[in-house]
Amino acid sequence: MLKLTDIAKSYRTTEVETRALDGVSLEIGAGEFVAIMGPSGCGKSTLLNILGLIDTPTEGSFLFLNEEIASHSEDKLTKLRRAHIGFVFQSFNLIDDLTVAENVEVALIYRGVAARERKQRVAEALDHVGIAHRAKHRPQQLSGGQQQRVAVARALVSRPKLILADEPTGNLDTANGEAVMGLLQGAVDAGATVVMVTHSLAHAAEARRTIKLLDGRVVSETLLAA
Amino acid sequence: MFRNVLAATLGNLARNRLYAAISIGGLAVGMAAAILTGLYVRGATIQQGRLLDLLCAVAVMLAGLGLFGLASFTVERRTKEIGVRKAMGASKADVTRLLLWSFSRPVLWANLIAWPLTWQALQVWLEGFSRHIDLQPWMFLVSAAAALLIALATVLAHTLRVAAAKPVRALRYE
Repeated sequence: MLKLTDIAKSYRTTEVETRALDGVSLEIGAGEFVAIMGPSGCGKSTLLNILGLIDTPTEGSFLFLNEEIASHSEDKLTKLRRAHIGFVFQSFNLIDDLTVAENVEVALIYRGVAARERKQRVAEALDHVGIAHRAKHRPQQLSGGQQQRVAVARALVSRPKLILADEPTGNLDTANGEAVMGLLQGAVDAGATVVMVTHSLAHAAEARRTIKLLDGRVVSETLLAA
Repeated sequence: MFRNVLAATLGNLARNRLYAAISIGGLAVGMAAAILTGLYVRGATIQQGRLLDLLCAVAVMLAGLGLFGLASFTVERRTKEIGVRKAMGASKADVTRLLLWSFSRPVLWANLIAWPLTWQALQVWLEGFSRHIDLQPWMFLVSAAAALLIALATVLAHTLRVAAAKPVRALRYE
């Protein structure tokens, strides 16, 4: 589903060039649950952003669903993102001015889903993550765990092929972290591919494969016996 | 102490040149408006019609500068939201529409509030002339359209810049 060959990403400020990724090659198949680990600043989030088409590599080839995207325009990337990808962020990234239900609905509006179907799917998604009773609340009125469940609902509601989670449990207590992991596992069981950046060994162990990064390079890959 | 304050002020001005220019420009226009009003009150020699034109231009400029400042502030405040929306699949056109509509709304509300007040004030003013024109609805619609056009032209630069940015830039901003 995703194939990266010699991907590099450099950030340039006026004086220094920082190499966030340096020759990363990896392949992720459909329906896989992959964890990416490594110390802070090793390029995990950069890799995830590139996989999610919200950032572009400076070098290398990236096949997304057998389509080379390295030379794609922002508009083409937007279309692919809209059609196939759902995001879960560490800091939830819900829109403060919208209600819980409206936040989840955003993902469907841009996919052109009709209003009636949107309402129904939002209700189902909120029910699925156990937060339906908070549909009319604003994000600030919710606890961190509840906000992250809303964010997961937003990622799942459009039924994406690929779900990218950047430290989804990083700001949560154990119980809420487990709940979010359960939801991601559920998405994998339903056929989605999940790539998750995490610092938690326990959560990484729930994935089928763990990729370790150090200084922008893949240093090890561990496949968990099924 | 005064020297420190002056140094800090100059430092800030140098760092935020655009905002400094807007603020100083706004202040200058505001002072000009105050002087013109003073002249008007003292019954200065400028012809009344010409003075009104000037005051109108000053008012439009003031409003434009205010809106420009509001646009900078709003875009800044909504940076993360725009990043999130783009990650969710919002296109450049979606973001542009969203921002332009959010800037148009206050202008439309302002017009709705201004219409009855202006209608009343102009009626009173026109009654002071023995021969005068009648107020027509199109005058209000045209002025509203002009206000909207000026407002959109003012915020367009900000909007396009943000709409075209890569989503990751907005998301990294926290």
